[in-house]
Amino acid sequence: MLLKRKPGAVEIKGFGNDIHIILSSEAPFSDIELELIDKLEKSKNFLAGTEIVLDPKDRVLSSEEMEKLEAILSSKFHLKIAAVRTDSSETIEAAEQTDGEIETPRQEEEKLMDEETKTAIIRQTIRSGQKISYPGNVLIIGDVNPGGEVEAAGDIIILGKLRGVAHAGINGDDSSEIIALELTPLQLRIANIIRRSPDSNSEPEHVPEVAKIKDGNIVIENLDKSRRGDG
Amino acid sequence: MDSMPGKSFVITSGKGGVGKTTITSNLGTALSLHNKKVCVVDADIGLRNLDVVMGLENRVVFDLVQVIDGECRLKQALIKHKKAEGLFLLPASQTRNKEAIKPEQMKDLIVRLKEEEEFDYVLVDCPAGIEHGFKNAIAGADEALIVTTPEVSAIRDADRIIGLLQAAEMYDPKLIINRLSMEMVRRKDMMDKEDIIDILAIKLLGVIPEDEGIIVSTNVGEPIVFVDNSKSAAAFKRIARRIEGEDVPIFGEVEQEGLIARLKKLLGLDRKEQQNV
Repeated sequence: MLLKRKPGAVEIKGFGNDIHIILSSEAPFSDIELELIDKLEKSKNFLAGTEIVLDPKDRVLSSEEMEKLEAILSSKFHLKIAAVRTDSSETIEAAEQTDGEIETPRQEEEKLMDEETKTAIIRQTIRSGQKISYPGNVLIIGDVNPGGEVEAAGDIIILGKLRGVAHAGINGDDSSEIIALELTPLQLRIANIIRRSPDSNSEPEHVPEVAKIKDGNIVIENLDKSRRGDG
Repeated sequence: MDSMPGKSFVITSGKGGVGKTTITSNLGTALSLHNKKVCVVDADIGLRNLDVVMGLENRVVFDLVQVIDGECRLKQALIKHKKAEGLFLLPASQTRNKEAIKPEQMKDLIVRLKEEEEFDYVLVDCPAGIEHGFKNAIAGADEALIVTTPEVSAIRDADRIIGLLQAAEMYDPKLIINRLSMEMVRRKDMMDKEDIIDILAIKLLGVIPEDEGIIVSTNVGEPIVFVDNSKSAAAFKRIARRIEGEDVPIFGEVEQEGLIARLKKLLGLDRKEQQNV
């Protein structure tokens, strides 16, 4: 009887400290129940007492189904639903009867996207000891002096001279760029790559330049040429 | 004297040893020569210097902390300068520390100097650093004068100070560049004033040339402003005139518009020019 079921109705995965139970959106609910019991049975020693996140993905769960899942998890295996991840309003309603929190991944993502595409405009010179940090792009109308720092999740554009430290793509976006009218920084950081200024004092270029990642290194290009090269 | 309210300045730098005390003493003297009543205040509590540099150490009886604590009257603590008419010193305490007073108390004190004692100018000599002593010193100031020397570290600290002043809502500090050696600038061994202004981006109030005479004058406790034919004295006097509202060209601006400066401009190496484009 068990062989008739298609496997893959339920997946159990660890994300950091969380255990996620992911449900297939196609499998019949009865398969989900059976496979859930089956899988939990196998790893019950390992999972005992942990809090789990129920992630039905695109599957819509009715109150009845939610009740059944909760019964399996809490009554049978003593597992607590810490959160339910869903964007479906029906599933949210069903999830409200559990003790778990409701997470809405799509909304979170949109919010994050929104923040990442936002740009802060700062009209001031960033002086030694000052630090600007923003979850989107940063546009500075002024200089960034030695000892000053700017960090952004996205791009950093400086309508002035960059002489301090700039860190673009702090969350790991290696397509982020740093652009300045004069690029003579102490240090450039993009995503997790760092480039420091040369130890010899070279005469600054006095032209707008762009720093970006190419082949795993930060390279600096004349902004004009760089644009022509791209388009 | 009319009832124009006096003006208070804090002389600050962040870094130590760039000449705050010398500048406070000489600028105070130069301003007093304009028939103005001037008080120089030593806010470096615990490390008092201003009285020594001004040659008034032997006259100190009461100090700033005692005035604030009400142990003496304000008038009692003010020391009249032996030579400059209208110049007074309010000395710091040598035995107490900077935590002995609070910024609000300092603010009240400066107001009293301007209103009760009718000083035209109050110059506050700020201690080095950015901690409690700095916060006290800037508390009562209407304006800030930033002192730097043409050294990278001094400029870095001045930049930090400008940022901290902004945070304290003092937005328009003026810059004094001290100990500029034209000879070294010419040899390209020293940053020129243009390079410094380019970084700090604040208004230049004056440039004081490197002058060995300063060491002599501070050691004997006589302001160099009284020494004739001193190049730094001339610079102090010019700064005083600018504070008085006169339109005086910046020292060296004319003299330095020499070959190198012109060549630089021709070659487009003059960064100030580019910044304005």
